[in-house]
Amino acid sequence: MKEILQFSLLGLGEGSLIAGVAIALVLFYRGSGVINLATGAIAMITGYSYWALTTGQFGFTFSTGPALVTAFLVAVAQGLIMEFGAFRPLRAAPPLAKLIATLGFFLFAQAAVLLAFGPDDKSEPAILPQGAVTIFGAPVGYDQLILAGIVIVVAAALTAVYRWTGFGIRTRASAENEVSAMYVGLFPQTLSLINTLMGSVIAGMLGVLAAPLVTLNSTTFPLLVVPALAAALFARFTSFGIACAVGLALGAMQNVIYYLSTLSWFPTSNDTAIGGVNDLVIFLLIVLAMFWMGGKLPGRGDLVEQRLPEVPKAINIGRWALIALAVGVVALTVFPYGLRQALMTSMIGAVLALSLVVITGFVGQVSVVQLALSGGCGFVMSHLMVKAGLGFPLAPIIGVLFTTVLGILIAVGALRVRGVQLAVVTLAAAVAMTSFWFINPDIGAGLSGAPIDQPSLFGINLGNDAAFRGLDGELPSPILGYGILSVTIIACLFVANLRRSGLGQRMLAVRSNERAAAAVGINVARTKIAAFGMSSFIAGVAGAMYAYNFGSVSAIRFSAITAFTVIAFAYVGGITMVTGALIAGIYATSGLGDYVTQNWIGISGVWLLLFGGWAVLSTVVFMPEGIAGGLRKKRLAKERARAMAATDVAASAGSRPGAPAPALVTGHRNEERIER
Amino acid sequence: MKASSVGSRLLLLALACLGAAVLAACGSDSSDDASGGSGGGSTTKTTEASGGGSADVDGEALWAKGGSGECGSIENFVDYICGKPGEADPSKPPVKIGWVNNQGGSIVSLGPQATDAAQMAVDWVNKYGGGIGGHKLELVPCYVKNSEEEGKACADKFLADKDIHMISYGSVGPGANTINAAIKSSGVPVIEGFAINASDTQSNQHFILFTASPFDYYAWGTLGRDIMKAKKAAMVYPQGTGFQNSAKAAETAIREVGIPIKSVGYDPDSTNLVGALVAAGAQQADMVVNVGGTPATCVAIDKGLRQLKVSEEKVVGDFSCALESEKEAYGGDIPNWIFGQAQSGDGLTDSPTGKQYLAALEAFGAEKNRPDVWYSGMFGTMLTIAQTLNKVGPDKISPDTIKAQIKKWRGPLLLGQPEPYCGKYPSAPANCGGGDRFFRYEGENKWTPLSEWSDVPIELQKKLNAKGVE
Repeated sequence: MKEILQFSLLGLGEGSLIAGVAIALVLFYRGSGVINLATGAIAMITGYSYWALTTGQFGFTFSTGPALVTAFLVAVAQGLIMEFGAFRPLRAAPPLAKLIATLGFFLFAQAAVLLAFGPDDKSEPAILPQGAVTIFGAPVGYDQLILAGIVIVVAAALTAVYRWTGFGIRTRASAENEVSAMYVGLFPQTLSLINTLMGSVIAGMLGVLAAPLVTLNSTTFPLLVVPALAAALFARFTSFGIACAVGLALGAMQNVIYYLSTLSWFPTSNDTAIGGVNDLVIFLLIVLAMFWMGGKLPGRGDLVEQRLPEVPKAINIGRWALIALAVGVVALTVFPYGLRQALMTSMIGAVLALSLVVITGFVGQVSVVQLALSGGCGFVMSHLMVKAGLGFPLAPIIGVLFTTVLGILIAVGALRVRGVQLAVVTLAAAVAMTSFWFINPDIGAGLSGAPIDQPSLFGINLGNDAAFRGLDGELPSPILGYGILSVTIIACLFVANLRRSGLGQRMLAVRSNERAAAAVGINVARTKIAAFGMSSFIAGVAGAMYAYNFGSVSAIRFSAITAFTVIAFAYVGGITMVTGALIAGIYATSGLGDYVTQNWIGISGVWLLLFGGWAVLSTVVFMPEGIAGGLRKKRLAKERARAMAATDVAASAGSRPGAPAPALVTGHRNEERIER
Repeated sequence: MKASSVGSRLLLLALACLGAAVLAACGSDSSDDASGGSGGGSTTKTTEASGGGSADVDGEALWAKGGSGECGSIENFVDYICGKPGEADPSKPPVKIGWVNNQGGSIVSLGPQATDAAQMAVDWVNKYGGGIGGHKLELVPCYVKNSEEEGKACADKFLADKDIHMISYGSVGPGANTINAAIKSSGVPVIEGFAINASDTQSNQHFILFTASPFDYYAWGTLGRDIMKAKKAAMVYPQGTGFQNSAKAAETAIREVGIPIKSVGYDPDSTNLVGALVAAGAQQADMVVNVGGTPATCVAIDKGLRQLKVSEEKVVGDFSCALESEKEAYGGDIPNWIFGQAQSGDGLTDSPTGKQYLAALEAFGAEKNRPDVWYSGMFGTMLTIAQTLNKVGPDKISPDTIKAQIKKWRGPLLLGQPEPYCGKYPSAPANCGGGDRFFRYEGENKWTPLSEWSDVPIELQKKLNAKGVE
């Protein structure tokens, strides 16, 4: 017991960081209804600003006081940019759009820091007192104790402010019912602004104070948002005290696990203590907590009902499929090797995005685990190949089925949560899969990236090293590309038809209103599980194609931030439409978008990341329904205008009054009934 | 949407862009330069290596007259590459090597300066060693900047160039797996100095000249017993791909010499590693082993040890915690630990090899990089590649002839171990080395060798089924 206490105390430093970011996350959510993935990035930028000012990076040096004031202003400026650049314009947009806007800021901030200060870690001069005190035999740094104290005081102060002050009560009222709050004379936008600024300042000053404890780089602070999200979820994105306590507890748990890993009973892998236990325990605790309190999770009373974009029925899908097949075959054959590879990667990205169309676009469940599921398929395939000698098609079939079952299991665990809360639960699942499974030497990639043999059937090589090399005679072979093209088209047809089917209608009903759906006899749980199953199946298919395309799978490709980036591009493309998934595929890493940007426009490296972050942010702000949805909206508006003009012309020419415009009665657009 | 609202959003986004641009303009360390960043990235400090100063060897004169003519001898670098004194003939078609490095993007690279170092070595071969049978040696670069997937594009690019018969890696972690998978069927060999990507060691077409992990760690038991005289050891390592095997090797080696050891794996994303160090018993141990790690975890270990008041003399780490680029993160200088290097360290001394190496650096104005392990490592690697290609002959270069030649090679390795043997250990066919040499960092770029080359102990070699061991 003494050791547990000792190691818990040793986790104070890490716990304080998690707790601080979690408190800021709760503030952002209470004020603006936004799960701000860029919270850690705000800490990073502010920390870098302080470091640069105090170490003469800008050609002049500030002393501590002025540097702190300037850092404070930098934090405020970030809050203003986020509030006016993203949160306010997206006030009526779906929560997912807001979340993705913050991811855009996250990516943009990371790239800006890399460009400004380079990739090397920086050491910030200490601000808090140094030295250590021994408590219960544990040497705890003064700076860690003070930081923990500051975080606890901030949490207590915020709790008091929100419970007993007029501002706090107004914020709570606005969060519960924004419309009613406006009726009684409150100003939700002003409240949102104040909360955003407070969140930014807390995150920013945490970055300044904590940077000497860690090191300044482009990943440490931004990635703190992952464990902090777990703490905020336990706090239901509402309680500062619980967010703080759970954040501190997560830091303690990590250190207690260090101690436990030295005991003889602790499980091992490859003769060393098994890794990833901390992430697995966090995930299991979240699942248990959500199962217990899922029904009590708060929803914000927003200004307008925030729905995901419309879900139009696809039209003429058979014709489009044939055209895509013909164009795809020609492109894969005649494209030079670089462009051919980019096209293949984009098609795989499109299939992964289709899995998000099903689970998020049709059912409204924000799942972050799809990328990890696709990776899981690759790892299963590799183990089947290496250990059981299975090849194509058995290995991918078993891999995809395994992924499907795993997806369903995760769905059962998360049935009682929805929306962005589900995003956090599935994020925890994705992190646990990566650190407990993919990195494990026995069941994951271990020492190596997990190798994948190229597919062959009846002695015919179907892989990317097949004999036929396209017109330029280079690798990769278009043969694998033809296979990927076929699977992509089938997946598109499947999802388009799913939208038209009875199950698709039930999914949309669940997305629209779970209680209403249940009232009309729809089994909500079964519908969700079916959606998770289908979505996981499609993610598995994408994973199998990915594994064949790249010839190996490794844990590095399935990080939490990459998973969010996949969702971001799926959303930017248009997360409710098949065409949106195809657009998202263009943005896939090393896909057509990257190819064109790097080889034709000449933007690469960190500038590509900066551009990507800006593209995500600006697209979400200006086209909250995604590119496909935005384009469709414009097209329909034009058609409507033309129809109106035709009606006017007909009326002025003396046509029979009241006759409908031709396009409205005869055009095929009638099929595009919009269902929410 | 109101026009004013659109305007204000545009303005804010433009302001954000402007802010980033200003930051970028004000920054001093931009590394997005496609040419590989500045060679000076690692040269911001004075670099007085022990025995430093200017070389008292007239390199140009030495290389111009040639040595004994013994192919592969490290007494004269021209002899080492089996070359001929003088410049390569620019009118002849170049001998191309595909070159990959992690640099210029968001991937945290352990060796962003590897490209400059390799290019300097290639320039030396072309200027003083006569190139490859008179043909200029040429690096065809491809950088993996942001993602694992970019490696595939590099592989496709190299495979499409019919003049490229081999590839070399600098510091390639992300991207290596995709390249390795893509080039597998082509048989194109990869000759690299160090393997940052653990799976490289498992490949039959890779050749890692300096000792690849975990075979360097098998010498750490000898260090603990013979030099540190340790009675008790504590070890921490990051729980990431590859590091677990390294940790297992270090633990095996230390136990083998009778030193009890407690090891703890930590989350590589942890910001505070005091708990891991205490759990491993760092305060009570007289040998604290830090296996692997990234710059951030190296610094976190250093901070943790300081907090625990553990003497730096008790700590041993590997070169990933002793990079020039990490000095700023440590707060100015590398901690005074013992570091294991898969290099001979001759580059830091005034041995004949060390003097020649310093002369080579001076010839290209790169003497400031003398303590940089990437410079010495890439110099040894590129000159060994040149030796291999010269032995094959410029007209007979192909993936198969290169592989056959390097498999026959038994050293010595310039600035590396005396008796390399590619494929000696069946469990890691790509590895050409074994063991380490240990140095204590004394501060201000001064390194003190603590031992001669420490190979893998014979008993362990037998257990590892090493070839050529009775």
